[in-house]
Amino acid sequence: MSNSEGESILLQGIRLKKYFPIRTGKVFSKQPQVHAVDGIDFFIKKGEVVGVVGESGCGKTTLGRLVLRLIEPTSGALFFEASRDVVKRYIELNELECSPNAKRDNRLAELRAIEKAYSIFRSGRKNLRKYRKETQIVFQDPNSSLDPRMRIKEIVAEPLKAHRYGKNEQIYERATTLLEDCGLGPQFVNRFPHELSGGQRQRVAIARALAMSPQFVVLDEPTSALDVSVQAQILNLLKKLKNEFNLSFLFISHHLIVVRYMSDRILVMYAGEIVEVGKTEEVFTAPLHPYTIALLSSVPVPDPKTKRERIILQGEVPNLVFPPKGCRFHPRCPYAFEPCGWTSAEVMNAFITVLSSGKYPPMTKLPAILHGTIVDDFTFTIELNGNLSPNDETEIRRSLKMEIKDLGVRALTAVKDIQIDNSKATSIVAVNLHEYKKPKLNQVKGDHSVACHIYTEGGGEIVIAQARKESSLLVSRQT
Amino acid sequence: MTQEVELSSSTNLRQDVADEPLLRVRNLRISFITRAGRIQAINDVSFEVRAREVFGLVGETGCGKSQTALAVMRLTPEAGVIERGEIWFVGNNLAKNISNEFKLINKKNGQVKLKRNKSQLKRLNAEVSEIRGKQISMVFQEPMTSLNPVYTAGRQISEALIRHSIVSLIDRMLARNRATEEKLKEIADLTARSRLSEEELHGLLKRLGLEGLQDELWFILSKKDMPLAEKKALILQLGRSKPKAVTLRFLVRLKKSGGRIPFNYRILNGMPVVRKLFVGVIEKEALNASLELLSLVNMPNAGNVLHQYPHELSGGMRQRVMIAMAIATKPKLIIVDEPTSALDVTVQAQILELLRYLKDTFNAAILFISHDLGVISEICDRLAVMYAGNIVEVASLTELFENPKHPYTRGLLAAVPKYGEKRETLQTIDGTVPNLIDPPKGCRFRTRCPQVFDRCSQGPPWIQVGKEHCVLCWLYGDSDKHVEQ
Repeated sequence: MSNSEGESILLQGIRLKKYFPIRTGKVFSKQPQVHAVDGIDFFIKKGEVVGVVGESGCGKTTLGRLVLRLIEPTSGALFFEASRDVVKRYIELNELECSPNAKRDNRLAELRAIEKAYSIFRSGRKNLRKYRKETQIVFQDPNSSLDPRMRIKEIVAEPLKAHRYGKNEQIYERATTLLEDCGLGPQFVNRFPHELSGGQRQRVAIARALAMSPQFVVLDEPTSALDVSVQAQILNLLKKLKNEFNLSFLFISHHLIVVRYMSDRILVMYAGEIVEVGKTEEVFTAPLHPYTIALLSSVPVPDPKTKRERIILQGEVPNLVFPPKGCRFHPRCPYAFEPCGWTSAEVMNAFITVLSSGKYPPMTKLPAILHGTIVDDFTFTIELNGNLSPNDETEIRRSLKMEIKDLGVRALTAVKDIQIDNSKATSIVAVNLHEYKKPKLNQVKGDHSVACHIYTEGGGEIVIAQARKESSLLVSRQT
Repeated sequence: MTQEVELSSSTNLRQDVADEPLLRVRNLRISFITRAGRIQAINDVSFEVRAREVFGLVGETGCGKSQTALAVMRLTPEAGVIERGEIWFVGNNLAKNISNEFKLINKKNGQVKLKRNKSQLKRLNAEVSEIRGKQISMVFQEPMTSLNPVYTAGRQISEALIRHSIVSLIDRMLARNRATEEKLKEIADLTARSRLSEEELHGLLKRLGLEGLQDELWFILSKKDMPLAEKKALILQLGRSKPKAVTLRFLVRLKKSGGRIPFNYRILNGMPVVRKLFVGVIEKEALNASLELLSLVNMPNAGNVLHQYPHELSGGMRQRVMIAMAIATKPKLIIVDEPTSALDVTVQAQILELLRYLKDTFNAAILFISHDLGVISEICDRLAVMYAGNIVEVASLTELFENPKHPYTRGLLAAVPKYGEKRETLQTIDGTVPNLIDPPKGCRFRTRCPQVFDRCSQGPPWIQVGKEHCVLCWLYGDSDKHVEQ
C-alpha cells in the first residue's frame, strides 16, 4: 500500500483482523470463528472522507468499530498521527515476519516494541482516552443511540463532562452552540429525543460526536434510517461541518450513490476483505474488480431514461465461518479462472452435474456415477460404474470446455488434467486442479488498487473492458 | 361475489376487461383513533390500477402508502377506521358497509372512543377472505417478521394453496389418475415438436380431459436448462403414482363439497395413521406444488428449502419464499410493500428481475410501494406520489421524472443524489412532515412548499396537466381545468 506524498496521514491500519468466535457448546473441539474483518490495510489522510461500501455482512461496521477500538481486534496495528518512518519500518518488519524463512531474531522484538509504543490497539488507558477525544462515531439509528431519558442538551454535554471540558456553564454553552451549528435552535435544548423527528435526532447525534472537536469521525450508515428529503439535509450538514472543522470521515454505507456524493476515496469491501481502493470518481467511472462492476450495475438509478443492462450476480454473500479459499468472490464471479481459489469440493459438484446432466448427446451413454471422493484440496476422483471408451474421454474433455464457454460454469476452469483408470470393472476419473493463490491489493494505476488475479495474470484490461461494456456502466444520461 | 370467485378459480385463462381498471380506490379516508387524538392518516386518496401494469406508490415514511395498501386488503390495524371511500376490485366494492363497521363515541373529556361492530366485521372477513390472499396477495417489507418462524417454508406455501385452491389441487390428483400412457405420450410428442402457448396447452388438455395437469405440464415445459428427453420422461412419469381407491373416493367427495371435508370423513382425519390416506394426500400434493413455485421464483436448491425454517434462509431467499406464497394462488393483483428495502443492492437486483418476470408470466398487476425512487423507476409503469395522506401527483413514469409538476415531487427528485453527477450541495425540502393529528389547513404541503401563496390555505383542486398526468396543486389551478378525481 502506498502512501502518496504531500498530505499527512491521520490514521493507518495494517493487517486489521477481527474474528468473532461462535459458541458451539463443545468443549474440546476447535471453536469456529466468523472472519468478519480479515487482513485489511487502509489509511485516511487529514481532512479526507473515505467511503466504505459493501453488502450487509461484509464487515463494514466491524471495521468502523475496530478503528475506534470499540471492539478488541484479533490482530493488526492501528497508527494514529504516527510519524511516517515508524509506520514504514513497521510495514517492512511485518512483511519480513510474514515471509516463510524469516529469522526470528530481534525483529519480532522490534515489531512488538513499535506496536507497544504507537499502535492504538496496544495503548494503555491513558493514551486510549486521548485517542477517544480525537475520534467519534455517529450510529445508524438515532432512536437507539440517544438515551430517551436525557434532554438534548444533556446528551450533547455528556462527552464534554466525561472529558472535563470545563465548568457546567461552559459545557452547556458549548452544547448550545454545537446544536446551533447542527441546525437545532435554542428552543430544542430542553426537549427529549422522542419529541424530535428522525432527522433532528440524527442532528443531535452529530452534535454529540463533534462535542470534543475530534479530528476523525466514523459515520456508520448515518442516513439509512432517514427519508430522502431529510437525508439530503443531513448530507449537506455533514459536508458543511467537514469543511468548517477540517474533519476526516470514515463514511460507511451500503447506499452507493450517497457514498459517491460524500467521499473522496472509496474502499470496496467484500466478505471481510478489501477488493478495490481508489479515488471516488475513478472507482465509479472505471471500476476494476468484477464485484465492483456488478455492484455498480445493480444500483437502481432514479431516472427512467437511463436503461442499463445489469450484471445480476448469482448467489449471495458467502458464509464467513468458512470463507471461500483464494479470492472470496470467486464462486459468484462471472470471470473467475484457474488461480481464483477453486477447491475440490466446488469443482467436483460442478463436474458431476455436468457429467450427469446429459446435455451433450454423445455423453448420454456414460455409465452411471457411483460416487466422488475428495483426495485433497487440489485432487478428487469420481468412480463410474463401467468402463469408458477413449471416445468418452475426449467427449468429457470437450464438454468441459463447452460448459465453460456456454454456460459459465466457472468452476471447471480450474481443471488442470484428467486421468482415467480403466483397469478395473469400475473406471476412476482422477482430476487435478490448478493451485490457487490469494489475490493481493495491487496498484493498477495511480492510487487505484484492486485485489484480483485478472490484473496480475494478464488479460485484465480486455476482460474488464468487456464487462464494463456489458453492464453499460458508462452510459449516463446524455440526451 | 361467490359467483365471481368460482369463475376465476375454475379457469386459468384471464378474461381481460380492457377498459375497466382492476382496482379503483375512490376518496379513501382513514383515521386512527388514539389517545393523543385523531390521526388523519389518509385524507382523500383516489387511484386506479389497471390490468397487467405496475403501479407505484412513492412517498416518505408516514405518508400513508402502506396504510393505503392495507386498506385495499381490508387489513387496516385495529385503531384505524375507513371513514369514507370506495374500494372497487373487479366489480366488488370491498368497502361497502363501512358506516356500519364502527361507531365513534364522544366522551365527556373531549376524547373520542372507537367502538367496532363485531358482527359486521365477522361478515366482512368472511366476504373479503375469498378475495384477500386469493385474488389480491401481498409481499411485505421484512420477510423475517412476516414468515412464521415455527413452520417450514414449504408448509407455509402449502397453507396458502390449501386454503385457497384446494379444488385445483384435487383436480391435479384426479387428472393424474385419469392420465393414461397413450394420452401422456400424445402430450409429450406434441410439446416436443413445437412450443405450445398457454392457450394451446389448455385446449389440448381439455380435449384429452386432463385439465388439472395444466400447471404441472407448464412447469415442466418452462424449465430452461432441461434437455427435451428428460422433459419427455417427466411428462410420462406423471401418470405413475395413482392414489388408492379409498383416497380417490374421498377426493371426489371433497371436490363435490368444494373443499370442505365431508362429515363422515372428519373422524377418519382425526386418526394419525389413517389421515395419511385422506387429508395427508392433499398436504403432500400441496408440498409438491410448493416445490414448483419455489423453482419458479429461482430458489437455489429448492428441494431443501422446502423443509427449512425461515431462520435458516438468507434475506433474499426469505423474500423469494414470500413471493412464492404470493403467486401461489395466481392472484390478479400483487401488492408489494417495500420488497427490497431490507436487502442488499445485488440481491435487490435479483428480486426486481424476478418480479418483472413473474408479472409477465402470470399477467398480474402489481401495486408497488416504495420510498426509493431508484427502485420505482426500474419497475413501474405509472406512479403516484403521496404526501401526508394525499396523493399529490399521478403520471406515467417517464412523464413524472421528466416533467414533475407538484413542488413536493420536484423537491423529492432533486433531493436524491444523482448517479452521474457530482454537486456541492443537495437541494433539500425544508422542515419536516407535519403532524397528522393537526395537519395544516388547505394544502398539507403548504408549510414546506417553496412556492406557497395565499390560495394554498384552501384545499387544492385535482388538476389535469397532461395526458394521464394529474396534480393536486393550486399552481396549475384555473377553475375550468378541474377534473373529477
